[in-house]
Amino acid sequence: MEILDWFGRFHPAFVHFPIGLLIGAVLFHWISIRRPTWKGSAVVSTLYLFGFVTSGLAAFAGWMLAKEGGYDMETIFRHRWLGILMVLISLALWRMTRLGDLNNRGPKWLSLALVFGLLITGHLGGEMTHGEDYLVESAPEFIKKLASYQEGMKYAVLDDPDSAIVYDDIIKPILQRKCWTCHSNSITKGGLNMEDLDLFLEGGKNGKVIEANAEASELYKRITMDPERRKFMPPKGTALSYQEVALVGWWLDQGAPTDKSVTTVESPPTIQSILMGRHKLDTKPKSHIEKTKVDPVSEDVMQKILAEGFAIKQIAMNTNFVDVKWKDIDTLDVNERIKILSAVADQIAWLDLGSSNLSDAALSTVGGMNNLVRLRIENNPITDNGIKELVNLKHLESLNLYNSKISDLCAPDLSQLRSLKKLFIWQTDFSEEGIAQLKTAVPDVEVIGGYTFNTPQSSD
Amino acid sequence: MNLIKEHQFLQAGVKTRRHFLETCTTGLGALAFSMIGCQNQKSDSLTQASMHSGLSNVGHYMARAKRVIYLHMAGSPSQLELFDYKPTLQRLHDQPCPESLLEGKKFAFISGTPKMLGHQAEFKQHGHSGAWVSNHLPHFSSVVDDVCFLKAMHTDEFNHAPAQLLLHTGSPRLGRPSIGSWLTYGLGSESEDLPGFVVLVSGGKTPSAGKSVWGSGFLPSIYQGVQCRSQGDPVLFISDPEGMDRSLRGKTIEAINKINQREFESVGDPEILTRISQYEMAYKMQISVPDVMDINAEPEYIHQLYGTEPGKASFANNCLLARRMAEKGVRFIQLFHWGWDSHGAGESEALNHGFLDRCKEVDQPMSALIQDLKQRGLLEDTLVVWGGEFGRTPMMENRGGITNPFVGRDHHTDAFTMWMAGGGIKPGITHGETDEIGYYGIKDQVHVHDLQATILHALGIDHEKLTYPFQGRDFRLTDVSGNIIKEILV
Repeated sequence: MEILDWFGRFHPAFVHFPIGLLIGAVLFHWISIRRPTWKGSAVVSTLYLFGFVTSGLAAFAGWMLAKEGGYDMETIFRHRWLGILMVLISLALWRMTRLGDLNNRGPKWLSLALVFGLLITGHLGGEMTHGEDYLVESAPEFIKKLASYQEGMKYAVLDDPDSAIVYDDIIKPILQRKCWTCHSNSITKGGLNMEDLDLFLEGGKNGKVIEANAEASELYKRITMDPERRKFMPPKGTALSYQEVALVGWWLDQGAPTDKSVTTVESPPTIQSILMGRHKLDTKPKSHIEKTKVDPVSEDVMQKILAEGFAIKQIAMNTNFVDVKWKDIDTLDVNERIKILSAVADQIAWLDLGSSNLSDAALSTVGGMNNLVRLRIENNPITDNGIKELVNLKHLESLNLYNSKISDLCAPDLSQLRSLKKLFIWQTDFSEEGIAQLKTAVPDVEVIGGYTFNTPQSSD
Repeated sequence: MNLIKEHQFLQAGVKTRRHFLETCTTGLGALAFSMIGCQNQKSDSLTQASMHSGLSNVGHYMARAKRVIYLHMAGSPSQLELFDYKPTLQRLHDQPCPESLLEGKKFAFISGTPKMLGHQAEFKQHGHSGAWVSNHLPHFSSVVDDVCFLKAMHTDEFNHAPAQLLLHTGSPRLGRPSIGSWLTYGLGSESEDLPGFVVLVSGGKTPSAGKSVWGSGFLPSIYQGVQCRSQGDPVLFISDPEGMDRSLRGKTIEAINKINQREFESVGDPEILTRISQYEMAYKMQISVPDVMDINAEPEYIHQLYGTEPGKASFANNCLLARRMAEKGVRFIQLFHWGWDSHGAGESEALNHGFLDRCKEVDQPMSALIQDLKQRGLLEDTLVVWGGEFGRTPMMENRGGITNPFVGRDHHTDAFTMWMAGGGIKPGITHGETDEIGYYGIKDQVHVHDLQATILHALGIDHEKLTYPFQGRDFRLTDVSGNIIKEILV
């Protein structure tokens, strides 16, 4: 039935006749009601008849055209059935007005419904050919506001690369926009359903479309081949942009994972910049402080802590975490005053209590600082017992214990600090074997002992 | 204290000819109006600037480093004898330089056709990172894995003074604040009894550009670098004169401050507040400075590590002092070591004589500084920067067209090596590359403005946002340039 498919292409040409004719019919209809002397009833009913015939043709052509696919399913559904409703209404109006009863309640209301119906149907049709934003895009500001239209907000803003799923949040929306019109639960051209994940992975009637390598994937071949070729996808509408092709290719190269987050797959610099530009997604690994949000420390609490002999300062303008340092005022004892820091236990990220004569007991307060990242407690009489208080600091990255009384015995406790990256144990009671054992127990931690003067080897 | 009056007073101080001309273009009515506008503009930053603590004490973003130790090798050491190994240059030794390399170039001394000069050193790769270091820096070879090399540095100025000014103040001309001043202005000092910006000089001479390289320019004068001497009184006139004891000194300062306070209340000039706080600081420094400058208390193994000899004015002593000041929370510690200008015109500035002495003077102390900072956990938040104001030519210098009596190289702006270590900088990497004779950077070039932007970034400051209004416009350290070297940041 190629001829019928071809006929479908005449839909845009036909569709304007019934719109014009029927609006004309309604116009004459109302003039004739107001001016009965015109005696226009014959014209009105004839126009309704013409409208009915041409709208019927347009609807038929439209039906054929829709079979080609490539349109948004929901819009086409509404456009199709509204269109057919218009055909039926024009038929009814012709029947009703044929005998000259223009002024009855039925035809009067029906004619108004017809005008509204035509406007809506026509708009839906236009939306499909020109795109949804066509009308609003260049409208004056106040219209844009009314339509709550925002430029450049076409893509979802993703905040956290840890929780953004590559397929669900980045790839699926692309496929939905560009492929699902023909490959969905309702239409499966070429036997391919891309909406249902299992069926998508299974492929179409010619086999799999996805491989763990972009170049080998039918999907990727189809979206990157010469657009003039018949096999190029999508056959209609806007092709995938460079960025979209790059993202799909990246996803395929990563093995087409369906549940992995952005941080668990590798992303080359080009992809990183695309993700940044398109989704505002910063893929750079973020530290604990950058990822975590805490309430600000009130000015009141800041002043109290200052009064106790600590310097306290916000780490940066864009975070509420604070940096706290013992000011080392001779007359004050840190061990008596450290309790005040419990008030900001969540907000302390960096703490410096070096050379303060800090005791083991005082470390229990430190042990409750959940977000502590950097801790300096060097030059203090701290023993292995004190370290036991620190084992729950799960975000601690750097721990400075140089010149304290700790020994090999605290190694098991130190090994429990799972975020630890740097450990300073110069001038402690650690034995050389103890340090060696510790290094093997926590291979990811840089254990820093001390340096002594060495006569350099002559390189000559 | 009348805040509005205070602002008006301050603003009047920065009104200039440029303001007048600008406002004249729109007539006198507009002039009057714009004066009103100007009075309110920027008032916040200005009042705060007059306080000792710096702008707001809080950086734009999370700082990786809290302080900087800047080791400036005044006169500019030859990168081709220390870090930038070029076998091709070695092969071309003693051959005349091709004209194509000289066309359109300006040199400080080279004229006519000079000869190429191969490395006056032996090179080897060191550490896990495989960094190339010459035999002149045997100690430093053992710390290369803690260091990030910038091999394609370049600058705009080929003479010492302007190049030093460009490097430290962002402009080759006098009058701009130095990087240490900008940082203390932006972040304040962490130390309550020491200045935020300290300068230590060794090698017998201050740098060619004079004290302007640590001056505060148009920033309030409290932000200028304070030079401490490692011999005699660490700061001039810090000791009480004979016959005056500390309590009398304290009472004197108290009395002066009271008078100043009264003056401030009647006139409202915030510079008076500055003066009051400076007197108080000076009083505290009488105790704190001699204390921090006294390296006798350091244990023997530390002296051995640095190669220090108490009582001498040396780069080694200054390195140890730098660490002591870093521990006390000084924000910016700047060391200058003079004598690297290896032209070859005399023995003291020859690559085969004076240059080798300089290498011996700095090699052990600067390596010890890195190790000592590291074992104390200070390298984590201390940024160490090392380098000269420019590089040296791959050609042998022929001053006035005649071969110099000793081996040397001329000033060179297009390629030189610097290194950074610590706070927020990736260790054990080399960034940038020069061509096969070390003449131009061919990959990842870094301009001195980029270096400044990166140092500020490491301290948590956006170099485009730290500005100060002067002569009718907002100035910043990097002026209109500067890109952060993202590749070397952790």
